[in-house]
Amino acid sequence: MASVLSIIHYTFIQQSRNHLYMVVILFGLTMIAASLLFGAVAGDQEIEVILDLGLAVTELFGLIMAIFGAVTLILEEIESKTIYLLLTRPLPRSHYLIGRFFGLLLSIFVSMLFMGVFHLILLFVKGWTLSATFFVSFPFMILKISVITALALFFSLFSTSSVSSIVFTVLFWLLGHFGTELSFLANKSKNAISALGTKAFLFLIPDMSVMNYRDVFTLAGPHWTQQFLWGSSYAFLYCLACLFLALALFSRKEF
Amino acid sequence: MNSENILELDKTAKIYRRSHLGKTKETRGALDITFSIQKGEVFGLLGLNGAGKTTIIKLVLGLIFPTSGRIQVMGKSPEDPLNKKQIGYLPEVPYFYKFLTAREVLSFYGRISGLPSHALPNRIEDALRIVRMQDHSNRPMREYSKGMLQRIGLAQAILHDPPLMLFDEPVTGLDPMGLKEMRDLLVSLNKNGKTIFFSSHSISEAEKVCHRVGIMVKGRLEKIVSKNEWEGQTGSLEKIFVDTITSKGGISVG
Repeated sequence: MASVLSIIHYTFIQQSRNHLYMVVILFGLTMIAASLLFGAVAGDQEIEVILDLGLAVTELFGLIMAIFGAVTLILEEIESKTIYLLLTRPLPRSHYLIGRFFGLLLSIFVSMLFMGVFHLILLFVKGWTLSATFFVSFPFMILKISVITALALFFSLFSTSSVSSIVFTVLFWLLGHFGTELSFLANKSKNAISALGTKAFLFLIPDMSVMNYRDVFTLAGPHWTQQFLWGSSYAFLYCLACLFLALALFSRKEF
Repeated sequence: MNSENILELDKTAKIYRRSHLGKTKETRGALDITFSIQKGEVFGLLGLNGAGKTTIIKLVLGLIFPTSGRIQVMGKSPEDPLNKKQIGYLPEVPYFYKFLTAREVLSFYGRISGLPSHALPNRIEDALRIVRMQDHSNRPMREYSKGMLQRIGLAQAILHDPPLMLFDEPVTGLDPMGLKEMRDLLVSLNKNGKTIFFSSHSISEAEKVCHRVGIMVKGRLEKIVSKNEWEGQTGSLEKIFVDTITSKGGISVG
């Protein structure tokens, strides 16, 4: 456990001392601030626009950090050979992988927290009345980011190049939002093999609809808690599967 | 396994396989390697570039896995993570996190090596003192020269006081003073009971510090020479080395 915590700690330091990390946060903050411009032209919907755009920007920048961070997380260490001095220590490969994963997640969450606080300040300045929707959306975003980080980490170990890992992850992210449509297409298909193939593929791609906070806004009362419970269980199992597969690849990887 | 053997390789082979467009290319890294190193010994592995020295070190460290044969480090598999507490490793070029200071690097390696928190500051001080880097330990690693990086590399290798030291080309690229310091350190570590296994191109350095030397040619361990075979005759080990390489056709690297 101590070794996992050490890896989490150093991964967090590594990310936070990376200039690119700071640039992404600053760019995210600028984009959130730019939502004021869109709000200004939205008339009486100003606060709604600032709220929606700010949340979308936070999620988008979290996603960018997750994909690029996870894909380069291990590959960079292999290329720079810094991994040699880690794996020749009494550090099980599983501890290293888990530590890197959670260290990256922590740095992404911290960056999202910065963006969230800044967004909140802007909303209050604009006279926003405190509502649960903002705070509910964050845990859902965290679930999505966790899933995509685990998926990108798996692809980075499965694929031979960082470009293909990024392409696969983005593809899965996009397809994950179209689960219902894919399912509809599979049911409509007259070819049994392609229908079966599509349904099998549906099991592989993450079902992002169960972690979609936008649905929360349309749900009344206590329904969001049920959705969050289902979403977090799904995200936990999906992350676990990705990490398990990543570990299977990593445990026999040669350096 | 002999109880005094700290490291043992038995008919170990490593074939690298690389697949590209359905074709698999095989490259031999090491073939039929059998030798053992006893506790308290300094064993040098000599060979030309591509002879398989680094392959042997990586196999012992568990960074790569043998295609066949058996490796035992203190009676256990090199893949056993806990057993790695017994090993201090210095790579040919130490690769560090440029965003950390030397002290932070050592603290990090110390923690993942299982050193208790209360003992860590003293161990870091000791390691920095031995490699004479106390005055530069709070600077980020990106500002270090090659020689300074090599010193920190040594510091991280001895930090957790392991009984077995593995050094990959420890004297490559060092200036004359650096060479002497490294040699003195190897002798001093050995006097303190450490077993040392290192690879090198430098026959003269191996001649000065080793109890035995293994000569590798094209992935095979062709000869093991004991100190008494070269002692007292300057250039004797070089002659043995050249004769072995020439007789095995190792001049053209395979």
